[in-house]
Amino acid sequence: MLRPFLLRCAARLGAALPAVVGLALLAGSAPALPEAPLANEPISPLPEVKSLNLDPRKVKLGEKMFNDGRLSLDNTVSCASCHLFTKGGADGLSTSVGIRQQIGPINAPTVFNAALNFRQFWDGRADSLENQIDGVVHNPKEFDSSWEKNVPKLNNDVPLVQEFFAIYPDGIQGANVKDAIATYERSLLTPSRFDRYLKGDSRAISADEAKGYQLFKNYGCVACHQGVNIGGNMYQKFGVFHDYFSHRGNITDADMGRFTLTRREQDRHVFKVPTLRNIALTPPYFHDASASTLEQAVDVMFHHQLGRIASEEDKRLIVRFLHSLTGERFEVKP
Amino acid sequence: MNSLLRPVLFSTAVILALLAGLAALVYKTQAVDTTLSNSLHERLRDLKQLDAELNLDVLRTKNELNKNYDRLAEQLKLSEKTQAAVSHLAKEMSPGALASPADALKKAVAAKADLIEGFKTQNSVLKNSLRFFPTAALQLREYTQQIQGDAPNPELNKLMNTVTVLVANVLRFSIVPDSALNAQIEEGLAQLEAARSVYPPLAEQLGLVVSHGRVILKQKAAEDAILGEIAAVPAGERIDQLSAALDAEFAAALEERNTWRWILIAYSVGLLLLLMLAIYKLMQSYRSLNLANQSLVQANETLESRVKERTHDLSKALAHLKESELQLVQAEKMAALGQMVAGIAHEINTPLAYIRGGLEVAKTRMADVGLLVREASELKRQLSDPHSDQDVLAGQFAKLDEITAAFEESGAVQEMVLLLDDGAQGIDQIAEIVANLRNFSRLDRAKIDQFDVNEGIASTLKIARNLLKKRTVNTLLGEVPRVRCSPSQINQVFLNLITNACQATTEEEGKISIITRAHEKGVLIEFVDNGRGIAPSTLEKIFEPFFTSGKDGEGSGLGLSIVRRIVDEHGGRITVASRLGVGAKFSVYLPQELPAATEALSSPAPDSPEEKS
Repeated sequence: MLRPFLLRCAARLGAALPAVVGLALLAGSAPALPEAPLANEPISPLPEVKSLNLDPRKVKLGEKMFNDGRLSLDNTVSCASCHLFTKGGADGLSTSVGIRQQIGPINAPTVFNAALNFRQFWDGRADSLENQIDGVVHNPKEFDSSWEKNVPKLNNDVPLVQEFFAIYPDGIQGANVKDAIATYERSLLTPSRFDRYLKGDSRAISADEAKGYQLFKNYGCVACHQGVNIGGNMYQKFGVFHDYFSHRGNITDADMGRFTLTRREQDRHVFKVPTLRNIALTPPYFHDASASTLEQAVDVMFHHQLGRIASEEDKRLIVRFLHSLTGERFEVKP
Repeated sequence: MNSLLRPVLFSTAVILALLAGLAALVYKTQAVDTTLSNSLHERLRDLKQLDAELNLDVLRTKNELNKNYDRLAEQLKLSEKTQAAVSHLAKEMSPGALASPADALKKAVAAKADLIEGFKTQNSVLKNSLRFFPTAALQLREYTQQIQGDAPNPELNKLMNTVTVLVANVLRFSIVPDSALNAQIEEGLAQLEAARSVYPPLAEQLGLVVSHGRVILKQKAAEDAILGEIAAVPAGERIDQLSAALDAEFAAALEERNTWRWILIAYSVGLLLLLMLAIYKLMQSYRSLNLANQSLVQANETLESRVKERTHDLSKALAHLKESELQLVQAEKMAALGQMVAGIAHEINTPLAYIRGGLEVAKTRMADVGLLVREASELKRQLSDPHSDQDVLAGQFAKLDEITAAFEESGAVQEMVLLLDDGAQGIDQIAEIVANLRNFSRLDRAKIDQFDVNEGIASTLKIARNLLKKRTVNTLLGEVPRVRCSPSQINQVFLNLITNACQATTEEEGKISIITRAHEKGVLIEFVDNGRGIAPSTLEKIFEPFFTSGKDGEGSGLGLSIVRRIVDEHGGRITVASRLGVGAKFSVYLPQELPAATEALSSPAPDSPEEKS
């Protein structure tokens, strides 16, 4: 009685063995074959920082200036005050706090990958990184300063002067400080597991994240959050299917978006589409910081921008996907 | 110097101005710089290409050949950058002519970019809704079927048909929008909208279909409008216009340059003529300079010979002068001598006079003495003669008594003794004068000897007694060494100075002091008088030959110059100090030894020591 049972077991095992071994081999082995990068995706992987050929001296100097409070009038605030590495390149606050503890009007976007945005600021008024720096330096609520004030301060720092002269023939000038900081900012690219996935590593993201990506595409989130920066290359009205602002109330100047610049009705409440990279690291969300979790943000997007109804599971998967967009350097393992 | 400076400055300024003009013309005729214009053309070509590609990319994006907006964003950025470069170059090249076409181009490019942004905004929404619409419709059907179950509902079926037609219309509309279709879709959507209240379970899904349907209509219309506007933006035209303006500028610049070239040629010809004129003038002046030069050389030679003549004349004159000087010196000596002789003669005359007088008186008295002697002898004879008559004797005695009484009364003997004494004194005086004279005459020869200045002064004073007359003479003759000199010359010096002192002073109040003392290996002799003094202006010239303060004929003026010469030759010094109205002091210093030069020239003195005659 036992023998045939054993024999049957053995037979089954024997049949299963190759499969088991095969699976074990598959499971145990490192990526067996290099997979081709995905083609025709609406999102592209980040370029290598190496390929940008940035001058390492400028990057180093730019990093120094990024963290230098002397660009502000009373030397208390620097770029890093609102764009902290520990806060995903933003500051984790609803709106930023500038010089002399002045509270700003709008939520700080991340500095990570900002070099890939077609314009800077929520209303896209700066068409370059350098102009964004100018905007901040001259803003009375942020740095409240000017290059006429900053350059003499910096010129008192002899080692700094030497550093500048080593790279720039005219030493410390506003243009050179901006150039250094911008070069540094260009180096702040944060490749994520999703980028590896796009490059062909199908196991870089989990099954849920992959499903989430499909949903992200199918629901149409990707129509605006596309390109290499998963956003950041177009303007869109906040409140396509439903009026977001009348729903929220308390309209401020910050809510006007591009209307502030163009004064055209069609530009009212039109903002630059922000990037979703590192989005898991940068709550609260939206220009008015009205959503403190990704789930809330996704809800708002579905209702106002997509005009769609999604199941909780779908939303959950999309949120999973969004987590995979975090730069691997900054990932916090759940 | 001033007169030279002005023309030089003027001509330099003119030359500089001409050169500046030339430089300016050369500058103007530089080959028209094509680098800027070439860059600008290149940039314009780039821009045109970019513009064309933008149009393509918009369509590609519309047709979903571009998977995202990255490319469009990049192209837009590049286009804006290129347009900025074009503007910059155009304004650099020709701010006047090219500024407005460049600005028009900028406006067109900016307008296009703005429209394309709008396109992106509406395209994303349209895309989503278009994709979703059929799905939404399908789901509606599913839900409807679920509700229906097995019981067919003609109303619901009609609704589904509407939905089907709607989907087809929407799809058609998305490809070829036309207003009729638009209206139909609107109607269909309205029907669905109405059905929401009729079929509550389907309300949500119906709502989705309607909202997306409406969005499709709106965004499609917007898209068409925008695409139309994008096509209408005259970017290409503006590029062409700027290009044409650029060419026109270039042509104009060439024209201008050619004009300037002609001007430059004319100017250069003018300059050349000026240059030839200048050369001609230069050659002329060169010729005249040559002539001037030659005459100068001639004049120089003439001058040389004239100078030689003059020099010859001058040397002859000098020799003459020297001779005259010597003669004058001699004459002065003679004059001095003459003066001295006159003085001496005067001196001798005086004693001579009373010697003669005395002798004459003595002679007269001798007659009386003779008478006395005769009568005495007679008496003696008579006395000796025994045969003399007593009366005759008494008579002789009485005669003798008378004569002797008369003799004693007259004191003739004493008188005669006195006169003879005087005579002897007078002879002594004369003897002295002669002795002095001997001394002096001996001194007419320039013989060198050891000399006692005190003795010299003493003898000179005697000789000058006639001149001195009633003047007071004080001598303070100290212990002095003998000096080696020519005594005759030194005495001449002393005489001259004493004579001058006499001439300066009055007889009544004249006071002359002569002081000698040893001084610095020699002797210092000072002649001080209280005469009228010498004016400071005269003082300077006093030793000059022919200078005299005396009236015409009085004094030759050579005295002091000769004195000076004699003192100099002896290696001594003579100085004078004076105050007008107070007096004058002449100081003569004579060294003990003669200077070597003078020693060599003079003849030795005779060995005989000084003798008084």
